[in-house]
Amino acid sequence: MDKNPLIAKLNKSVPGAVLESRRFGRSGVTSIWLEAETIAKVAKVLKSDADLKLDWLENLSVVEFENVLVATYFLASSVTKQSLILRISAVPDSLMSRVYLPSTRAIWPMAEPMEKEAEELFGVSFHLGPILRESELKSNLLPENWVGFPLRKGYVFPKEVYGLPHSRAEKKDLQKKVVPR
Amino acid sequence: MKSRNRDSYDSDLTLWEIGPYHGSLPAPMRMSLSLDGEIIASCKVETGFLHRGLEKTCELHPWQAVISYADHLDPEVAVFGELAVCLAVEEIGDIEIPPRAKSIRIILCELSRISAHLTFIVRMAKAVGSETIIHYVLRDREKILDLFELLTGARFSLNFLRFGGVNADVTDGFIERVLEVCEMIRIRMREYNDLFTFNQGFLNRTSCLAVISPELIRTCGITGPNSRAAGNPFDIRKNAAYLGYDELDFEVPVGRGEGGSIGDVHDRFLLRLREITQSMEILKQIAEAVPIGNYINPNIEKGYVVPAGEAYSRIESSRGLLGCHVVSDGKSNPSRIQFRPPTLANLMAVSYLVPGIRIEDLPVVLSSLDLGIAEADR
Amino acid sequence: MMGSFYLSTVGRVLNWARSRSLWYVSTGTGCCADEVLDCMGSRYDLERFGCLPQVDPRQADLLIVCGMVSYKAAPHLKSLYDTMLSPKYVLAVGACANCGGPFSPEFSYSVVGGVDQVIPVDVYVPGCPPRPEAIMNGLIALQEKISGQKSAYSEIE
Repeated sequence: MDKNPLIAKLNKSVPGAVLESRRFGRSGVTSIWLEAETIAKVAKVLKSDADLKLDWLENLSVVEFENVLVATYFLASSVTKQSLILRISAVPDSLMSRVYLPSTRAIWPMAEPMEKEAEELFGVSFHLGPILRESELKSNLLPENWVGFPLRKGYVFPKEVYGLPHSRAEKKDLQKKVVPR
Repeated sequence: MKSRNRDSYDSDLTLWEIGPYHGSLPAPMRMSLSLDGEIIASCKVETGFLHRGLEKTCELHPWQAVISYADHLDPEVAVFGELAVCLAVEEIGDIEIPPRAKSIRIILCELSRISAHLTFIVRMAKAVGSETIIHYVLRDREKILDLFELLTGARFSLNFLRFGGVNADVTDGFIERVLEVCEMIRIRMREYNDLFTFNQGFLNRTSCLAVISPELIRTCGITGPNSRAAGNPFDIRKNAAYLGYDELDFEVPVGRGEGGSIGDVHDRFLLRLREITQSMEILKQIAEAVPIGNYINPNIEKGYVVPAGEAYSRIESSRGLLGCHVVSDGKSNPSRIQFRPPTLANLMAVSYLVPGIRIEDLPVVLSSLDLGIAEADR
Repeated sequence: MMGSFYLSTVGRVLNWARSRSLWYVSTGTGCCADEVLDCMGSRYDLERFGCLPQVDPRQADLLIVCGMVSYKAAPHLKSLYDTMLSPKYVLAVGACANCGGPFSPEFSYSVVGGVDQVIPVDVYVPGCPPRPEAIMNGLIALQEKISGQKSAYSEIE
């Protein structure tokens, strides 16, 4: 593992960060599993490194593997044509409880909408480091006061939302249903 | 990048809310603007009114149905969603695509791109209030929708791609009709230019408006026509070619600043016209030599179950880089399908671009970004 | 006797006029909205039925709901409908607006299972998305419904 110069560099600058390094699927891209708390530091190193300059977070995808929530960072560079995949994981206590991971919004500003989405749909809260600027993109995909995180595997669909039954309409009592404002 | 003079306006600002259903907005979204007279001082964008839970819905269906749901990622250009899923699944299963299938896929993609850019012209014309051009462009887009119908049987939700190929072979005379439509649009483009593109009123409305800077591209991660108009020649078709785009001869146009400054609304408009021309070049090259052979990999049977593994595919949709992360655990349903829509970055750019412009320019700027709210909300 | 004869005749004329001047406001979401846009275009030309797109809901008689309605959008759709002046009609275009369609409540957590749970619907147009011909057929069905009403005043209470 130490043969890889990138891993050696990461081990040197952020000790104890790298857990494992693999190939991502069939592609030739390296994916590195990191200790979750170190992601912000590693991100800073990767962005400023002269050989890598990974300044573009292309995608942030959260996947649930058997009750473990894995955040996958697909990174690319606009300067050096390099690409890399970072992965961190967290285990939620129960279906309704959130997990907390460090945010990389300060390093990659484009992470903001994707992190918000993960927070809402998966219950993965990316806690902020230094806030660059007040958030102006209010992206709440779900209505207010929504219970549960829909993209988790064990999520049970709601019976009723806003007083509307979550089922196909029964044609008998259509006119009675009113949506509260 | 700070919004212009925001602090000096704090004393007498008018708050104004638009949406979610409003004629000046391209799709259901909500904008909270604070106005100083006619100038917009700051804006907040709220989306989510089109959230359908597409990714969860994909997980609840067998693999084959995922393609038809990927249609609904961005219904205007359905084939790109399908292609992203298919390419990822083909990478997981190591499925070979026959050359004929690749050609048919490229034909569909480029036709979709032309159709999407024609819709973009319609939106722009609507925003600046030019009624005539809307009808001209819609008339010509019908010809492309007819081609879709001839090939796939549907006008918008195509549901035509399959793992390892496409659903059906091209019918007789399809290729000739594609060339005819290309020729027709090439002639009509001149008409659009005379009527609209170089119209002085249109130039006045669009030049030097809402300029995307290289810095903003890096901040928001903007891809696609919006970033190319600002001079960044990034195109997945060239940088990481798929489907054999590297064997084709085409240019990636970049903004030249004819309107006054590189990356303004007029550049974004002109760039899409140039992309239509390039797509027609690609279609001509493909149509000259569609390879003979299977249109689908014969080893893939109907109830194909994707083996365990994961893949991430990247394609160039009409709005930018569309990524798709597919995870399979070897069961009959996908474990996770995640899309990376290009519109998320464009939406983020709205709150940087809008402050400082006049309220009457808001619909023009919003339509020039070509926001696909359906794919941003999923 | 004379008065009721007069009212019903005037009502018939009013109904005829209403059915031939359906100005609509549409809530566009995705593919069905594109088909409604095509209807407006030169090949299908919805204006020959007297339909004209409107931005202001107060000046519209017809609300075309194209595509799905999410729980987040439902209160806003309801308030848009409430803003319209009576008599008002609703055309639900597409499978998603009719019953949830591909995003029916069994498969999607955030889509209302049919727009008729939120606002009353006059005509349903099936299809995913419906062809422009189907949308025009739905409009003609709505025109027939309006023309066949007993009196124009039965709607106003």
